[in-house]
Amino acid sequence: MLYLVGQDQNRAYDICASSFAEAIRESPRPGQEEALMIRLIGIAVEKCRNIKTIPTFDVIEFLDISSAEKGQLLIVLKALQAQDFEVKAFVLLRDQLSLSYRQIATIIRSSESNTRSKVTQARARLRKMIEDTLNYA
Amino acid sequence: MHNKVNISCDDIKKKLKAFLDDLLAEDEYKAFCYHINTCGNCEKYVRSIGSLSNQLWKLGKVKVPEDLGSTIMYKLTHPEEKAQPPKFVISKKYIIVGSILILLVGALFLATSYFKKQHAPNKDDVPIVKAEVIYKHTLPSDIEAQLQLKQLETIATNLGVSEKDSIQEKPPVKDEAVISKTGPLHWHFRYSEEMKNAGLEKEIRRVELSLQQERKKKDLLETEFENLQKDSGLELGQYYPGGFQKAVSEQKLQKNAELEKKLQELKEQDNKIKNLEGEKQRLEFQLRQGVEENKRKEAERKAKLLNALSVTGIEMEYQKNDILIFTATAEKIGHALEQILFISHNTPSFRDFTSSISTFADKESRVSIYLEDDGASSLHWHIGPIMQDKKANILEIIRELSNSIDYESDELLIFSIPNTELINLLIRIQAAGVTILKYGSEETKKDTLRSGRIVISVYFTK
Repeated sequence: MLYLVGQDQNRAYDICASSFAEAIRESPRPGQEEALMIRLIGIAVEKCRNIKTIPTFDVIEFLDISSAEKGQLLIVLKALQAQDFEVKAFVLLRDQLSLSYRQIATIIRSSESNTRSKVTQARARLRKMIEDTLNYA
Repeated sequence: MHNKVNISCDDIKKKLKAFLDDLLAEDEYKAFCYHINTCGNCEKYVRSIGSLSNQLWKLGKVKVPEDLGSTIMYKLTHPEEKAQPPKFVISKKYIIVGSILILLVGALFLATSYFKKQHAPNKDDVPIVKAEVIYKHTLPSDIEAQLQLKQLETIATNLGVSEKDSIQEKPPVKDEAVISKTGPLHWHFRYSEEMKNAGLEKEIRRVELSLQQERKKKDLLETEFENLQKDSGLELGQYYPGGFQKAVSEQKLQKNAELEKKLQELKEQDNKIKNLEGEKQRLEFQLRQGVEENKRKEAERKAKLLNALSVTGIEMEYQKNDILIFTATAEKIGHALEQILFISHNTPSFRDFTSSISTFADKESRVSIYLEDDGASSLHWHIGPIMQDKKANILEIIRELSNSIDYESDELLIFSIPNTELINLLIRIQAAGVTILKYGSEETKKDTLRSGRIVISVYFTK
């Protein structure tokens, strides 16, 4: 979510808290963790999509990441931030949250096959941007 | 989460490639993710590989604020109130009164049209109404904002600007006096001879990148080595042809051979890393030497330049951050330029020099000189043509982001901001509907990716 809102930590915090509250309020029954998670992510993605993104450069505190890895992550992060919302959403839902294509399709309200091809396209765009950056450097 | 497919640690190794290539079936993918989320060793093993999906996963490993839980609880107990639409109850009485009002308004409209037709004035009698176009800047839409961000990110990350973009980049002409025919004089003076340092820095970055990759490979080999050492896979009480002891000794032999092979690979990897480290040290040493040499030459030429200017009786108005500003008569400026040409190796465009001298022959002009180091100088932007009210707006934006303004005159502003604020500043200036005509030099933009502050001078063109 942090990356969907242009790295704005305060905004991500706010959206995260209100998405949790909304999702829990909508699904009060216990034992439906997966449904709750999907609903929560769906609400958060919609909230992020609807806000105006003003890019900020809040310093992110990573956990268990060495400084050498941080350098590489920053390149990926820069490339990610330069992408459209849709590209960011697809790669983050699949690769960061490890959601299945069915789950992503439910969140994005699309078909599973379409989701699969969108994720592939999004990865390719991100990879190209990273490669361009590295080649230039 | 319950999974239909069970996956063991061995399966993780077998299916690793398919996972990284995203070729697993959905059930397998879920089971794979479930396993690595619950098995620390497998997670470490899988995530140690530098694939794009792993990098994205690592981006998610951020510190969660401690008070998030309490904020969620607060939001749960204090739901945001949504504005309720007002309820209208229309009674019969209101319908009757409303109909009468509509009829009255209609009658009034018809009567007015009839009256206007009867008493229509000549075209000549109609007073001329001057239409004024009021410039109104609207906030950019999401798509526009993203496009702007993309442009600016491309500047910062890819370190290049397209000529088609609204921010047009033209690298300054090296060792050449850039002389405006109407505005104040603005020269780029390269006092550093060597350009090879930039190449060395690039080479060091390349070696660093390969070092990182090779170290990763070594980590992976070490993990594989440790895993090989650990599990024998043989259990007492099971049937083995030839007996348990024989199986153990056979397996030991096989494992020893594998371990030896791995050890050999590790040694080779170590050698590769050592070689790269050596190369890096050598390059860094060369760079240090080059930088020192350059500094010495720079100091020498800078001193010569300052001396040449002081000989002509020119007093500096501003002298900081490798920017020199002074005001002098045409005669003194011409004399100073001659001295500068004497110091610099290449001959600047003489035609521009003579034509511009004649335009300000009888009055004093302000000259700003940018001292360039390895082809790079402070960022300097030409903003304009600009209306006075917009200039105030730009100044407000700059003051908001920078509290260190070094120099301020009607046409020029010199200030410094943290590098991280540069893109923000550019976005805000663009959002104010102002175009930046020139944008620093190629080399300077590389600094925008590094930490620290950046000096920017802004020329306001009338």
